[in-house]
Amino acid sequence: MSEATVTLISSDKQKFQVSKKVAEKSVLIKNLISDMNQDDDDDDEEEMNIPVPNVRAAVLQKVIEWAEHHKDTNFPDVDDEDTRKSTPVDEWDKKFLEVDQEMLYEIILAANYMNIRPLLDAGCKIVAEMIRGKSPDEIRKIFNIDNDFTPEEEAAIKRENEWAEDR
Amino acid sequence: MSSEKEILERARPPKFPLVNQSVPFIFDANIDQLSSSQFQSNIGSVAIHPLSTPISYGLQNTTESGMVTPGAAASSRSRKRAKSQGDQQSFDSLDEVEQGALVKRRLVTNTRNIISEYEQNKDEESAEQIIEETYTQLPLPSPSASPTHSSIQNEVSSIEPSNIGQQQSKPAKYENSLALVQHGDDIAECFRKSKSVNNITLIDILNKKLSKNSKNLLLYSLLETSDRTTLSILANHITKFLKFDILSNLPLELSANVLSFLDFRSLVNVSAVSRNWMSLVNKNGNVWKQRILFDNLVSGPQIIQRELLSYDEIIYKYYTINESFYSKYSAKFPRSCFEPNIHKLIYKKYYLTNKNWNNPKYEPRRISLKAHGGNVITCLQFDEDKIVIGADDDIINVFDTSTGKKIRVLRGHDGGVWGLKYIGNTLATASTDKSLRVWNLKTGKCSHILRAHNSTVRCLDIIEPTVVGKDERGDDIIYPKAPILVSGSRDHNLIMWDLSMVKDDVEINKKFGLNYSKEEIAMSLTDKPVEHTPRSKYFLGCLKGHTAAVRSISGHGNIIVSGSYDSNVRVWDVESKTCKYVLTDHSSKVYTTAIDAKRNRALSGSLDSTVNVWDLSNGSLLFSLTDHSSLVGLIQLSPKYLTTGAADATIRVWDPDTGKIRHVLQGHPGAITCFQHNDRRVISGSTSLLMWDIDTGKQIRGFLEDTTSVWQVRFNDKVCVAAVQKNEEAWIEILNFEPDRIQ
Repeated sequence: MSEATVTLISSDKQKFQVSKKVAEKSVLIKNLISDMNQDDDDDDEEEMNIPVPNVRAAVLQKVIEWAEHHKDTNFPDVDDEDTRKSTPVDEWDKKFLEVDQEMLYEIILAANYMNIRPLLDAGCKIVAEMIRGKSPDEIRKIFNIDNDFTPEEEAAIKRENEWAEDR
Repeated sequence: MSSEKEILERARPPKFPLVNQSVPFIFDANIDQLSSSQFQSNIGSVAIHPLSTPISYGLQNTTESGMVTPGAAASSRSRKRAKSQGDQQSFDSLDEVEQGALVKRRLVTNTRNIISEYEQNKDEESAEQIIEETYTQLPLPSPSASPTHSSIQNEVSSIEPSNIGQQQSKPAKYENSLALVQHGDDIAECFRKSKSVNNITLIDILNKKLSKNSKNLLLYSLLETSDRTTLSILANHITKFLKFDILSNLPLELSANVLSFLDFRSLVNVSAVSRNWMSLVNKNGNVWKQRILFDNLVSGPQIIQRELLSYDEIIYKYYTINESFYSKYSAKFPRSCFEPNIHKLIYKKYYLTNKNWNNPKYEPRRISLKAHGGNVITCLQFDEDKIVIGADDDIINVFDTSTGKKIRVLRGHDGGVWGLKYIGNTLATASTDKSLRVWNLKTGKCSHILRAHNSTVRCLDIIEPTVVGKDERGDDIIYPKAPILVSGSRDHNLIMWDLSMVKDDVEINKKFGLNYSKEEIAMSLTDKPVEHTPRSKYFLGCLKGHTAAVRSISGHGNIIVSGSYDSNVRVWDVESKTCKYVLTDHSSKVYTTAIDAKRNRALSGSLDSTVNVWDLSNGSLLFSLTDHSSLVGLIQLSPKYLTTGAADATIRVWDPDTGKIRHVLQGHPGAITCFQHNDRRVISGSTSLLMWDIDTGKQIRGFLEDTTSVWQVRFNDKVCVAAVQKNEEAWIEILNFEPDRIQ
């Protein structure tokens, strides 16, 4: 018998059959599986259908792709704030997350909903990288944001933030 | 006008090979379940080479409206589903090029039908005018709008064939749209003008009548025949349209997570982007708080807590945004984004403070106080509020840290004070009059006199309740229950006192969870100090063993380490009051000791110029630091650094794990009399003060060049306090590095 699989069902009702090990990269699903196993442990062979109602197929597909890649990755302790913050984004993750901004947004939401901390952090770090070291104007361009400050306010902000400028 | 031939022309298969690239586009026909009858059957999947990155993003993004399924894996998925439907078997066996051709043929048929409907309904309206109108009606979102999760697919599915009749009642628009199709070169203009769609155009009809993949094919074919200028304009437009304000759309805790990965400068820029982004940072109060701690700007969260108490002062001194900016918006917005973010201001304050520390040209505000006449100042401890000074006279002085004002003079000892330490508001002092005294720093009263030594009390330590391990249930074991005072004397002995004799120190009680009844507290308060002897219930025991004066004491949990002029270091078990180890490796008087609780080690510095590092689990000598060439009288340990100061005029910075030397701080003309380090700097005293960068070992600057000698130096995140000798007199110097008000 090959390794156990579960079927994840996206919000738009698409089914994805993945190995249990991959699915369990999501703490949400891991807990669901263990709850389900507790309920009827005599019927292990039954096919496990797990709806992921907040995630649509295209996003779930990406999340699964990520989990497949990281099947055997050991991530650092999530409670270690310093390590979490100082670890750079994995090169593969960086490439993997080179997606449309809205897709990135949805992946972050999905990782949060499915409780996949390393993916969530990678996504958030990528967004942070898009912001890091940029001037307010550059940030506006990247995210297509209107500058809604009056010139007077802008001058005041600039003055207030002078301390943080490079010497 | 569009003829069937022309449409066919446009919909011809792409010129480049239809192969599955690494990131192909899959037109997933199976999702399409509506359209006209010609399109009822599912058509499997077709892979098309992406046009260019921005455009491909465009296509991919249309997934939001349920049109395209991106990702290579989708191909196999749609195939799988196709297989599950019997009538798809034959189609599935076609190769992708053939499939593409089939789809296109069907598309053409379909489009032809739609077009012919329009043709029938043409009227005489001026084509130019129509075009003009249509341009303003294009159903493309404006660039500034964020894409929404529209459900075009659902809308479409609700359209029944009977609806077509209604649509036909607006024939003029169909005409317009046809014209539009032929005027693709002005598309960019259309984009710019388009704001909303009120009328049904050809685009609407195509939108509703065509299946997702057909629409994409049509779109693709149109793009393929467009010139570079149009494509480039389109690409720019689509790129801009696809930009998405991720940060504002994320739930607060996730945007906080993004912000937590940003350095302070980026955070400052984030809040200057827009009102929304500014509010976003302000709403995530923890982001700046974490930054303060992560960047080591203050020594601990308690400093931030403390700063929050002076909220108004911080805003007054460090916030330059005029109040009118946030008060004038208060009517419109409940909370203006310009309202001060206190943690950002605390960051600003300490960032500037730190800059002042490191700027050799900065002149800190200096307060010089005459104190203790011509006597030697022997000990100094201070915090944000008070500076406590012990000297070779009988009195203890307490000064206000910020103003330098003398708050209290504690009188009672009959001899010089050689050791002091306070926790909370409880101060313990050791004197040559053989006694220890316990004082209340708030009232200035001496509450207890402890008499158990036969000679000068030379050193003391207060052992605070601390976690020493876990019990079998996994709960913390805390020892001792209440603080213990331990003293070392010239009489060779150590005495331990139970500091629960002090019951009215709210700060201590709160910190260590000590609960005394009102009666107990009231009983403990007396007009005169209570005298304690070894018969007192607070006398915990006498530790005998050293054969000369006890010079240094360090306590932690259940362990006391003492260093003596008998050249030995002794390790004591507090609870059993026994000596666990006698560490005999030093060849001369031991002057200083320290406990490294984290690594379970004891350290000792000696007149034999060495520092020994001992293993507390078995009493063995782990290694000796032998670089100093003269008496090592000073040791300080922190998680990252071990520093030692010696009479050889150097301070040395070591790796506390391995004992490997990191830096030799050389620059003082004589013996090091005092020093302190934190994670940023070392300040050391000899004839004057020098400051060093602890990471690089470089000397940054000197202070107090007008003094003859420095006896004591302590510093915190913003203030340095030194006890010095100037013109044969004792002075207290307060150097304040807090930035002035920013106007």
